[in-house]
Amino acid sequence: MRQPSLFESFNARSLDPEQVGRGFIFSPAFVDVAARANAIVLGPRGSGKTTFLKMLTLPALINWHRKDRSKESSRIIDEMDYIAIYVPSDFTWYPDFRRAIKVQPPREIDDILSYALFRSHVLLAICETLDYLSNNDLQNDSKLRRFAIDENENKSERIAQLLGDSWEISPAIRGVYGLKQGVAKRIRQIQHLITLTAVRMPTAASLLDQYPFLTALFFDDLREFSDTFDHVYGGRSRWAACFDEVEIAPDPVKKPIWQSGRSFDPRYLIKLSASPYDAGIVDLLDPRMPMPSHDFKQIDLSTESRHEILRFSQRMFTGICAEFGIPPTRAETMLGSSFYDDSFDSDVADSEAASTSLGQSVGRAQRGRLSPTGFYNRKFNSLAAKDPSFAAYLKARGIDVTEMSELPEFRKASLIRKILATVVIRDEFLFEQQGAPVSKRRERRFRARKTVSHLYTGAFSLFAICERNPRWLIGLLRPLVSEFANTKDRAYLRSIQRSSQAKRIERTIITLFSLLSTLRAESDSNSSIIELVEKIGDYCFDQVLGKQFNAEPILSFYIDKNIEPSTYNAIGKAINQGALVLVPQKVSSKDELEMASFGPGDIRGRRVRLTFLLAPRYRLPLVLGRPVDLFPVLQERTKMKYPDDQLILRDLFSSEVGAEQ
Amino acid sequence: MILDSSVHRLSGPPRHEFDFFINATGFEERSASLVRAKCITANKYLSLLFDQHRVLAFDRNFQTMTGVSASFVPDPIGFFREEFKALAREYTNQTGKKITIGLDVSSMNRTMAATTLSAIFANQELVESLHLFYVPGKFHPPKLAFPQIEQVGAVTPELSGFDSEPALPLALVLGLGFEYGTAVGLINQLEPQLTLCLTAIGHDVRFEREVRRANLDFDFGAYNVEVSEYELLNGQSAYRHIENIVYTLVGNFRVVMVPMGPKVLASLLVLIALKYFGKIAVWRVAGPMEPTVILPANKYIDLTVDINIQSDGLSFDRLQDMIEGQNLEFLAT
Repeated sequence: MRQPSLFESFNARSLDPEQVGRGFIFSPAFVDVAARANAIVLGPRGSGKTTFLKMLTLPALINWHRKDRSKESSRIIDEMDYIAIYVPSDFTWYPDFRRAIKVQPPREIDDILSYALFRSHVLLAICETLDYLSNNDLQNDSKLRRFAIDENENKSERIAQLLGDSWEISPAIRGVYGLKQGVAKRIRQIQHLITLTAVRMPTAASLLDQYPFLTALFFDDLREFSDTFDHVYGGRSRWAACFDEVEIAPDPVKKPIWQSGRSFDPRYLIKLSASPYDAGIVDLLDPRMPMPSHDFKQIDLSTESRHEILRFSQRMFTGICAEFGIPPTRAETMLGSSFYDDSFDSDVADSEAASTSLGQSVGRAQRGRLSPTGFYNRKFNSLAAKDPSFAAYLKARGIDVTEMSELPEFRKASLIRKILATVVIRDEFLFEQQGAPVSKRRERRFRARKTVSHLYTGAFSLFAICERNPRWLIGLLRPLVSEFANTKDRAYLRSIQRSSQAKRIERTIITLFSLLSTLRAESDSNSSIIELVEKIGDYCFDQVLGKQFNAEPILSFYIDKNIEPSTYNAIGKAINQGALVLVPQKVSSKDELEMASFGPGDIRGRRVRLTFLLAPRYRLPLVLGRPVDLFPVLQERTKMKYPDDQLILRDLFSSEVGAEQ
Repeated sequence: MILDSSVHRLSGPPRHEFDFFINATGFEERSASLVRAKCITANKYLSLLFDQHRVLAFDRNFQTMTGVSASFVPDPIGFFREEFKALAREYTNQTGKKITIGLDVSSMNRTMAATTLSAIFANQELVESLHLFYVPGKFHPPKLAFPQIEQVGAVTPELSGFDSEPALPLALVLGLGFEYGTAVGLINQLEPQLTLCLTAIGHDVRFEREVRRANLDFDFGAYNVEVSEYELLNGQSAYRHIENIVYTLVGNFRVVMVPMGPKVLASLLVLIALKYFGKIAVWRVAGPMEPTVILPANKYIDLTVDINIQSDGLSFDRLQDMIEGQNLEFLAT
């Protein structure tokens, strides 16, 4: 069967470590992931967590270094003194997916079996790792062969036998392959038991009596493996147990995993990946326990610097182009410059805005743009002509549009650049009705949401709205590049049309909405995740396009203590899917970091904003904006605005809802 | 497994005669339309009931089925686990011959269809023949609401793929309906290595157009998805086509099938899962359902199912054991 190409596949989960290594795009965060320390990689779905953990495995490292002989790859590989045991997630970890619909076994039995299932996947991961240590590629790799073991059949059979005895597995075939088969058979046996409990309900005690392996602990297995390995092959090995997607792991394994950073065997490092929010973990952990953030280095993929977002996105773009035979090219050449980014200036000193507004790094407000015929000057004039509140704002602050370019730098920063984003957006979406009487022309009217505005197109806007999420980048860019590569007019066109980009953004937004709609909020919740996002989006819309020009719109929110549990849960799920983005905490020292440390999966008190991907739907600038508490905002907006209180597919971009107010 | 497939008009001949005729009495007009149109005569009518949504055409359907002295089954799952075998055996003892069964899946939910078909195959020694009927609905423009998923899981424990090979990657076979979000949501959560989406053709181009539109021209963004068509009105061809695909998948993947779209597809996928009993999972996606008027098209599909096949997975004896909750040692070893 054909393997998907790196960019054809939506997820590193379905790729072999070798493929992940070959296509890996280095990011500085990987240095922290690979360091000799316990680490937690946090990020929403599709943000590249699995890639990072898989990249720690030997086959991935070998293939990365073969392709990328950079200083970074050499240094990371040289400094690694451990062998990663990568434990992939499995769909059977979801309770729904491992049993029949409407079958609910007793909690005790479900816990026993789900733990055993997880443990068996750990054993399988040990077998995979052990198997690779005698692989030819590893034996022949100049940098990594220090981890290889000699191809001694006796030793191989010896370790397999010892581990089999320890795991109570009697493989039909000798050696590591046989051991792996034995573990797979064990997993099938657990699948059988899960099915058995759906048909006939045994007691937990009878299960444990009959199947003693159900009581075994996977951390004991890891320790035992290390002992056995050292015994058979000599030396003192170091390992990293890498647990992927811990948030979907069964509850009984979460607690020991999160606690392992402090108390587990010193021969092991623990590396985890998880979504930012985990509904269950806060309840599972003892509040008196030291925060896991004290024992793990936290790598948050949603808070990369704007420079890194740009660099990473550009390299993804180059990789996608290469897949279609398009030589390396600057993204602006094919996707066009971004109007939106041009509205920013790299000199703005607001550190928070800088951390999220990609525009500052890419679009430089050239001096000429503020001159009387310049782009921004035209925007200011145009908006002042159709928006009386903006004209009044300019007048009140003594801003003469014709002399903007002559203002001293500090005045430009405080008066002009601060409001550029809002001005550009208001000018784009407020319009005067052609042919209307002059008296009516001053009424606020909005362009209908028929399509995504071209304002959001262009290389750097696309990169910004993808938030460095590889899945979004691939989903958005790959079809565009594919279409461009296959067009007959390629030589003539030279770039990807903005209308195509806008359409692609629209589809990506619809896909995200569709996805959000299928996520279950709490059963006692009276609001869906879509409704939550819509309320926040509409609030932001009013902030930017409200009756009065608002120089500092509120576009970010604190998850305050008044938020009720079901809404809190919906917010967490929206964060995990990337619909809401956690704003990086401002910390400047280690002490501050510890003070600001939240528990695993805990988002209370954190600041969030809507993902920039949703900015075109609510017609928002790609900036962080001022924060307020979220609870009052949600209280204020209680009614849905759609017929039958139900949002339908075509409401997103084709309805006239909200076109006039 | 499908020996023959034919399409007939609801208003015309032929007339089908069975020992048992099984349908579901629901709110859709078509749930009793075969009986109402006198296409069917049977010695015994078994009509499965839902525990909710007794609205719209339900009363009329109930009357129709009462008119043929149907036995109503309020707990279909319990019935097929505990009573069906005894009923079938009693009938065969009385008549001295195996039973012929007609099964109308037009208004059955996925669990009902799966439970019924599983019970029939588990008791295949009592069954002479099985005809599967499906009355397509007339086109009705979909609302295209963003779907909500309340629960996802195997339709029955027997069809949970409990004997699949855990080390293999996952392949997802999705029947496409109007629920784009459900498809995207499942793919996003499961992250299969391969996804195959099945879309029906050959009944009404308006359905085809709307399914395509609802699924954004089968654009699943970053997800690696293959789309394949099947003939809705030619069950034999559809079965062969899908089964061929599944045959190539089953040795290389853990296969999970999620039959959204027409009900007849659900039955075809259940038959495939039975053929590979234990190896393949059939899932159902449950969400809030709003009863809507669906009128029957003036035609129905008649599929002749080969009841004598042997499973390429675990044996049907095991299926019978699971359905009856007996001799389950094979699950405990």
